[in-house]
Amino acid sequence: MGDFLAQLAPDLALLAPELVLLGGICLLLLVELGLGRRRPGLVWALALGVVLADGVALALQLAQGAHVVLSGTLRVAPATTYLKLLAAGAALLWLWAAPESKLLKTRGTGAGEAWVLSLGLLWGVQLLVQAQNLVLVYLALELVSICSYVLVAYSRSPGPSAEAATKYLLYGGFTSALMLYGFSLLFGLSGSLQLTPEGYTAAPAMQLGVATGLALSGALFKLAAAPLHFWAPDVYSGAPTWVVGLLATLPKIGAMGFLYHLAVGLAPGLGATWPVLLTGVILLSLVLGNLLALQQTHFLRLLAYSSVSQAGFLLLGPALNTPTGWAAAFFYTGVYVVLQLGAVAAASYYERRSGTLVFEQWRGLGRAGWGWALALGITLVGLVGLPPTAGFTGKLTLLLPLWSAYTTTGAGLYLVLLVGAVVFTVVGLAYYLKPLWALAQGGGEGGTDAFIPKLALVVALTAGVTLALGLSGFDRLTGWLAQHLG
Amino acid sequence: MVGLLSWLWLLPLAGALAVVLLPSRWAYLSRWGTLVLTLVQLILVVGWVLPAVGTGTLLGPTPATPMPVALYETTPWLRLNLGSLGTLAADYALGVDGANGLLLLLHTLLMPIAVGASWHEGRRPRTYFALLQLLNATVVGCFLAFDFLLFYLFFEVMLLPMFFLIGGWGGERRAYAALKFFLYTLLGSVAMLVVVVGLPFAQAGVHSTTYQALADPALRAPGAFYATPYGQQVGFVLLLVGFAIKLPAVPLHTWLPDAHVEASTPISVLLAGVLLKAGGYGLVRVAYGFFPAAGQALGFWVALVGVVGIVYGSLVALAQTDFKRLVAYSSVGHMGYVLLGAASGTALGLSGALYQLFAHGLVTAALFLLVGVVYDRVHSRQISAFGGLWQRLPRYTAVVALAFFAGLALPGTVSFVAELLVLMGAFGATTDVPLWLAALALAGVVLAAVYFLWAFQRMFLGPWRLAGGADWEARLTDLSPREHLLLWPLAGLILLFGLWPALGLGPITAWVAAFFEASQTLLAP
Repeated sequence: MGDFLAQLAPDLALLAPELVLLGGICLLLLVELGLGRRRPGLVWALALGVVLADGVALALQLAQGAHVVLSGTLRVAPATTYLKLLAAGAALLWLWAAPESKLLKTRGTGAGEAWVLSLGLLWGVQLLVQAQNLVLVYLALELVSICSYVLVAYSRSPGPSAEAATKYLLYGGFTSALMLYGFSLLFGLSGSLQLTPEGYTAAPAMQLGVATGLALSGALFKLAAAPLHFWAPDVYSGAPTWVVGLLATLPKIGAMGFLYHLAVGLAPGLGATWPVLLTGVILLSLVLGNLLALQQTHFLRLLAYSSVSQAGFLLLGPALNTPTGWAAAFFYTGVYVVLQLGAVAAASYYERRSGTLVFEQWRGLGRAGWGWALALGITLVGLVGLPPTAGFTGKLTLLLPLWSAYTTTGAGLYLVLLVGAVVFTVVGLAYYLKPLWALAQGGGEGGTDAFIPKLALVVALTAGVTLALGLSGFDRLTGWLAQHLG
Repeated sequence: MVGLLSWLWLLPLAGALAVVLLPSRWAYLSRWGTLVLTLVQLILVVGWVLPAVGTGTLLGPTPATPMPVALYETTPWLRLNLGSLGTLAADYALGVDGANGLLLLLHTLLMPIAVGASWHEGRRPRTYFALLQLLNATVVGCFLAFDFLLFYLFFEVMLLPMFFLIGGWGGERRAYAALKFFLYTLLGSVAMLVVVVGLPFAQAGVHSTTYQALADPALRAPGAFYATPYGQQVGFVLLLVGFAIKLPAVPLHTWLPDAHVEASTPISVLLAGVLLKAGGYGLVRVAYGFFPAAGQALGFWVALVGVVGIVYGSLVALAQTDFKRLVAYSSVGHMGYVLLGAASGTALGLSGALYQLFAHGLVTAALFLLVGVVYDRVHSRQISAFGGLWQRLPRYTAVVALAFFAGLALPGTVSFVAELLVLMGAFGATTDVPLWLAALALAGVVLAAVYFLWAFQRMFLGPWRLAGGADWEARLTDLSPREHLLLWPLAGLILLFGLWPALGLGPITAWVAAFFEASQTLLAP
């Protein structure tokens, strides 16, 4: 036993952030049981402290190189640590601002189980981005899913929230089953649960393709890529707004990490089938997401359909499966998370002021608080992908390797993806500017006057980061990522 | 150390920020501040920037083909590591030479005039002037950029303030017009983005996006996508589509009439006077600069598009009953000359194309201001609603007459020089532009005379007649002092550059000559 622990110790040192988070969750559970009713603020503050400690531990981990821990089931590497830091940062910022959202403000933050669940979600994401073992992937994905299901139903009200949670649960369960079937096929083909390429080089192409397609469904579901996107509009509009802030960011980060490990393990054996598999999904997501978003009048539903189309863009890097492609995908994930945070924070604010998320009814609200409208404008322009925002530089770093892949391999696939990406960027303009347009109109009631400092900080921060990364600095970030994803 | 050219676009940006932060009781300062800033810009350009044109750093694809770029400032900006493909190096590079000097002058001239035309803007003035300054900054940056990625950045960001200016301060169908404008021009921009993305990659190494580097023949080394004539033509057509939407060229022009009619007068002035010119400038600098061989090969088609634009634009203008729509379609017609001149492949034609950008900017600005004079007073633009205006509004009629004669390219006005150069170039074309096509362009001159003079006769000559009766009579006063101040400088410049074209043509012809010599290196098979 002693030397087992001694063997385990260096691995555990590398897993320090996850252990901190786990310890924090357990502590929070106990505190919430005991003091939750009397001191709900304490649970919230503790949760923030735990995420902060996790973030610090992650930052310290960045300097260390790549290591494989726990018998090869987890891979701690700088690139995945970047994703974990992104998740922790998003969680920290959002959990800090979440009590200002309409539901939590009017009904109080409850006994604190919301924070425990959110931390569970974060823990699942952190595990997911570094898992190389199929069982561990499933475990992490289920943790993310279950916490999400409960959070979506958090408002406990009958109607949209319960319906959204049920839909999410059913779709998620179905997709998990598909994914597990894919995993079982993968195990059968390689004889091992590890996602390393050695096991799959000898596998027959068609069977590997089918297994990969099934296994991908888990990641695609979390990304809300078509055709596994049907849950997104209902969950985004039915769940409490603050939960959408978590769901729009953390699971996507996890899905990108999961895709990376899948690609490392399976793509070499698949050869040309891997890009083909993803291209179909990308094109479908772009088409469906953009066309359906054009008709939306509810801000979060619009965001949901836009996230379907953004999933298409996020999948461009994995389709390329080159270090620069992955670096661009990870960078765009970061940009996407920042933009989603800003959009949901602004939606939270306008929901507080006007009581509704139907942006046609936000008329006139832009006049008085022009700073909010400006920040939301920068965020929406970033989501379209126009300069001088990081949305543009993100898309640029995705398009450059696409063109190079086309000219070096001559595969028409990449040209189709390139053209599709740019054409649907233009289509996106038509719906992303609608909320901004409504805000800029005159008339309408003024709504309750409110300056919410926390949401203001989130919105200002995300707009600032969007502009900063849109003008400079992104080249260093993508360069660093490409170095570590080689 | 920030150079003079950087100040030219940073000042308006700072101005926009300052205006937006003004408290509401000092809102009137926004228009004064903007006016002062645009005049400072004008003084800087006329006093320091323009005299330097034709001197300065020598850049060129090879040392044997130098092209002087004045006040050139460059700092490394982006180094995007793309793994095995090398590094994409974009620099922050600004410069002024014969191609963009006159356009810079046009812009800095039209800005204070637009501010003057917006003087009585009562709807949210601070936001309006902030957006105007943002537009100012991005247009200046677009003209001054000497790096393709930087140019693209400014070219795209230009669309945002224009969208909000049309949509926020326009007429009844402004939402539709603004969105159509944005979608159309964004589509063109992303076509350009494909070329931005692909051009720097010919071989592994450092790929720079500066104009100098992109004109390097080594980029066309065998193996590169753009080495083959096919690849070059693909690149040229993509760029052409992008800029043709902006120019606008028929049949990609349908956004223009709606945008102009719904935009307010000063916004129309800037849209027609400056933004369209960015499209023409980009066409010459970027499309013809990077792919001259493709430009030569496709000369007939580009000229065809140009002449179709001239004839079609003029014919449709003839059918208009709305004064502003007539001017908008005349814009479409006049921009066809730019395409024709560029397609001719001759120094005369290209000089004419660049000069037509300048000339048309002055003339169309004057025309839109004049439309605005009547619209501000009686809120009608219908030609049939007016008659015999010369009797009570003689000064207005005088300026309109001058502007109309400039529009139909009467000798003595600046557009005559421009169109003459274009037509001379077209008739002597070295590309395969047939004589009949150039002759057809002459029909455009005649048609312009027809629609302008007919409109003039209906609205200004004959018996006094108003559709609105006594109410309109009371409101139709002659030009106010402010309007005099806006219009007479424009009229004076139209005549000045028409009677003394060497003033403007000098730097242009020098640049065009150097440009043709430099592009010989790219025309080698």
